[in-house]
Amino acid sequence: MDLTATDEQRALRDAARELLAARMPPARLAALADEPAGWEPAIWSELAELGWLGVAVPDELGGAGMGLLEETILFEETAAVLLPAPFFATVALTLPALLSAGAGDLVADVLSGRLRTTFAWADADGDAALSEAAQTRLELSARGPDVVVTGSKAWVPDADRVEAFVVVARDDDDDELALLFVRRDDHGVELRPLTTIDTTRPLAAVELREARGRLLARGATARTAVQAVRDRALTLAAAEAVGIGQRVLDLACDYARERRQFGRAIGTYQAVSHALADVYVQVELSRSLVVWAALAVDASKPDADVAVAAAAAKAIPAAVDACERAIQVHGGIGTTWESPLHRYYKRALSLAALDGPPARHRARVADAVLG
Amino acid sequence: MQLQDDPDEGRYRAALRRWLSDNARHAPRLDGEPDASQIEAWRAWSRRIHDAGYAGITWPREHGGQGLGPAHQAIWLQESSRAGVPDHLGVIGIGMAGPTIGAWGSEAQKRRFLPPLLRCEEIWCQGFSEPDSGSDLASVRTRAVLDGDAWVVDGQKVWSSYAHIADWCILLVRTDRAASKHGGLSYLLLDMRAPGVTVQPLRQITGDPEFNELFLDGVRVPRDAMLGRPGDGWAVAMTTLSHERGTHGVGLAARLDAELRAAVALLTRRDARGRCPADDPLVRDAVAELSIELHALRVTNLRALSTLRRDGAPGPAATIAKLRWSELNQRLTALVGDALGPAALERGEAAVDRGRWSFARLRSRGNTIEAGTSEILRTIVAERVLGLPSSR
Repeated sequence: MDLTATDEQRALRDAARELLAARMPPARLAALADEPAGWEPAIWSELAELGWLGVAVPDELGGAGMGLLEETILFEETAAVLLPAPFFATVALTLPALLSAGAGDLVADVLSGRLRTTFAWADADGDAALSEAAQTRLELSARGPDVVVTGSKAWVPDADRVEAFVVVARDDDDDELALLFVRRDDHGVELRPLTTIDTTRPLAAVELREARGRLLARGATARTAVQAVRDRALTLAAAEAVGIGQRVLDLACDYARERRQFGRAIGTYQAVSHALADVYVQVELSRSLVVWAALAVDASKPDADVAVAAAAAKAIPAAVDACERAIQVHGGIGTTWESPLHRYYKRALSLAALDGPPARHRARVADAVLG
Repeated sequence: MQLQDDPDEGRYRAALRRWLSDNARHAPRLDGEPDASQIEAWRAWSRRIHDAGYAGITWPREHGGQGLGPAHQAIWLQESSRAGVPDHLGVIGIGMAGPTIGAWGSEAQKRRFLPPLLRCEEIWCQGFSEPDSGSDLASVRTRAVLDGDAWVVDGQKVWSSYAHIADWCILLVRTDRAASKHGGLSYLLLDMRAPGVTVQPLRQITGDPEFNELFLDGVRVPRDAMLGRPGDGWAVAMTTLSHERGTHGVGLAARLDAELRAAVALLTRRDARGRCPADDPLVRDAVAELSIELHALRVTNLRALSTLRRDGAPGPAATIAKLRWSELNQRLTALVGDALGPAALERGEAAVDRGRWSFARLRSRGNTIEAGTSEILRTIVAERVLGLPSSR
């Protein structure tokens, strides 16, 4: 047993911090997040060159051959600066599906930085939770390697920042689950960007009218791929939650040391300092669950899906709570647009909307514990 | 990073499991405060632990220990909890007095005290807290005045577990009233049979006399029965209180894990109509939440343990262990109590699980107070981990 970071893991974190501090200082993030475009595509080729897109991709497919654990390090750090880029959409939500489906050519395109992708799982009239992706009613209507699909997908993250979608559908012939690869520039694809609160990770509806797609996987392979996406993306969402929780805790502690009222720093008041101690405890406990989940997924442990559910159930609400407490500690300034806190809060709320309420994840854990 | 045992740890765990399965039948069964015959059985069990090489696992070999690392200690704590057997009776000796003697004692003191402590031939208790010195430990007023070849001690101590069966006591006293609050303290090794020592049981909300009050009336303690020099008492006491940071939490979490499993067995036990408390979705949700929190605590403790092994100190995450364990234990006993309804009020042999849940619910209130209140622990996190300004 050894849960200290390896030299390689520490080097990865240090390098990520250094780059992100240079590329995404708070003022830059604030400016970008309030612009219509919302991000700088130039950063993407830099991420590709650094190998961040393929950290957990096997060597033989051109990746770094590390694991989900190493990816959690990167997602903690990118979330700590709210990096506006389709990093979660491409690496957390789509790459696992491409890998699971054996689409080596598309994986290579992603790793090179030429192809950014996102995952379109939620039906407009269905359950939007990621874990319910396999319940889709979207039907594809032709057979063979190329298929045609008509219908709509809702709540697609970073849809206007990517070149292609992995769409979850089912075969109208035999009702089997299917995964399609659809290019955004296909004439049958129309995006309807939504106005949402987290501009660092926008959402869009995607209308598909006889859109042509490549069949990536169907049946058992598709189900395995969707499960892989769920396990990895939820673990990485929990890692983002840890990054957010740590960042807003740091901001609140800085403020509590400096802000003076009644002649003393407000951090001397235990009503303030104990609230921050509680946030620290919750962030550390969440960090532990992310480590447990990542190790379990990397080792394909039988309890991996329980570990993932536990990490999501704990870390994401803890990040929301950390943001709310940080706003409270900041007082009035914490509720202004000028403060960075609202951006973290909105990302935390965006994570909380990814896979339904935490009680669902706890229900999965309850089934494992109580039978 | 890896959660699995390395090959050496794996062999140690396997051998321990074999030993526990062969020997667990000799362990005393403790559902509440042990009586005299249970104490005797516990002494015998402790000697068995010692003879098998599981007492003083992290102690140096020259002090009679096993010279192993914190990971082996953690394996003992995990496996003994899993087997449902109590640890060595001399927990205060092994966890607190012994390591302090090892760090501060003379060679003669180490030779005199450490071997009988490990063999459970001598039991230790702790004389730190006083009626007016709880969280503010450095304010202790029990006085020791030098008179020839002895310190003459007068005062009162409280919350001394095992004092009624103890042979020795680690005693924090004020030897210099002119010195600063912390600088006037000294650390004595008190013979509990010395004239002037009176032990009075302190009945708890469970009804059991788990703790004791200790009255010291002109007790003569030999001048050399001191750890460190006069005025070193605070530093010596910090050694006592900091020892086993990193592994203590592993033991607490392992015991709580066993409690949770017992609770799950109870909550899923079906009555004559085929119903059980775990049919209720709210009970299921609460059990899941506890299970998640316990996993989080377990891994946090293992992170602290790994850091302890690498750096010699467990790192900031270790401060969480006791704070979080105490709150989770309270939540678990409340969950079971609420699910049981009026049956949760019963005590004694005829009660559900022989009354362990009603006892546990009452006992757990002390968890957030003993060994550092939750308020003090939050202040420690705020000041030492988060670097917030001192509230004092």
